[in-house]
Amino acid sequence: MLPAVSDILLSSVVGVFAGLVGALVGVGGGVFITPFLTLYMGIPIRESIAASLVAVIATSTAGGSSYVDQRITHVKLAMFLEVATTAGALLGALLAVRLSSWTLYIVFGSVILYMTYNAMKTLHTDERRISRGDFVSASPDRLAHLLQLEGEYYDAWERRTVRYSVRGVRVGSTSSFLAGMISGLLGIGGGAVKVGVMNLYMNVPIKVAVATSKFMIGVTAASGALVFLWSGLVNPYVAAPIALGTTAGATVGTFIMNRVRSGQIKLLFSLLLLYLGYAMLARGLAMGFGIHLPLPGGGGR
Amino acid sequence: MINVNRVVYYVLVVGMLFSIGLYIFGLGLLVTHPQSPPNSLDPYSLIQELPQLKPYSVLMLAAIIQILTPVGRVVAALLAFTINRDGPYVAISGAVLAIIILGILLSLSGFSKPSP
Repeated sequence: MLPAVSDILLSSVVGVFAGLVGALVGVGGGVFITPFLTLYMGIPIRESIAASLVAVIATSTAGGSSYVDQRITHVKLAMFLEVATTAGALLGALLAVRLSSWTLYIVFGSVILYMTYNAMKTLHTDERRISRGDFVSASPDRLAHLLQLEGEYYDAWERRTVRYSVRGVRVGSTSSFLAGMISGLLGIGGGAVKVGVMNLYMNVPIKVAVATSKFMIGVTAASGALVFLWSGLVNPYVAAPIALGTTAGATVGTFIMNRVRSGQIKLLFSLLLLYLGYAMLARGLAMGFGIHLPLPGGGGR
Repeated sequence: MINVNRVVYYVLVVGMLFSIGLYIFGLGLLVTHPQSPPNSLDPYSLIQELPQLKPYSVLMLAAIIQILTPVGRVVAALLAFTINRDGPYVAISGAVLAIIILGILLSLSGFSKPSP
């Protein structure tokens, strides 16, 4: 179907919003885009997911390149964790056809709600830890040292260079593997879980976690998008305006992110996690037990 | 020594600029010369239609460049780490690339499905 000019403009505006929020919290924005395309625009679910993946890549490319340029992204950490996330995503995609997913929705929803609790509990600790120099004084583990995972970035809000030592590499890579599995299996929450893992378990400041996640999600989305492309499901008329919008939104978002307080980013991130965890749990309960909790926006992919 | 961050940055920026330019051009064509999408959303039709600068083929080319950009930055990082003789990261970026390719091959062979 030929898109109307008003649909092109509306899709671009929704893309700008998804790209902006995605750049601030390190996620792809698929959680906003897919429900919009399916519920509001009436696009079939598979075409919607394909367009959403293209938009996620667009926001990752725009946001990721800007954060690399600002030297916030930890490229080596991203490459290291990508092994775990891509392997997890592959296993998740393979299991998706063989497992009933309601138990997994409940399990992963509960895990994400637990992460939400931890993120809420530590809302303002990043700022305190930056001022006390805790991020750098934490002793890196042997593997982190071997892989040269120490890093630093300039925090525009704090007006200082923040140094940090990555630790918990084993826990981080195991959790990243699970994060990849969630995105491969359920098609939701990849970026949010990656940010949580880096910040909560690997001693990575929230802004670096956001930037590094933003950089990483493009690769995971690209693997999926290539399969959709090959299957003839990428409709460029649907994907183009959304991708243009997310690129613009992500570009603006990357200029804002480093200029606001870490606590504000973490609050926004916690709210997103809360929504994802709740949506997954609600979907699991509906599929497994027929219990229907209210689910705004359809719960994403 | 090659600065891997700069190499990765340039690959992302070039991919982004190409796709944005083509998206804007393609959407402009679509508004001025409306063309219904073909019945089959086949990327192969791109090869036939691209020389005629039809909106569908221009936008499809933009989407393909967009999708390949993150894979391109993994390849670029692999090459940069190789030139820098950074053994652990050659292995790491090579493993990422191998897993991506394996995933695509398994999906195409029907071993897994592309969507929930």
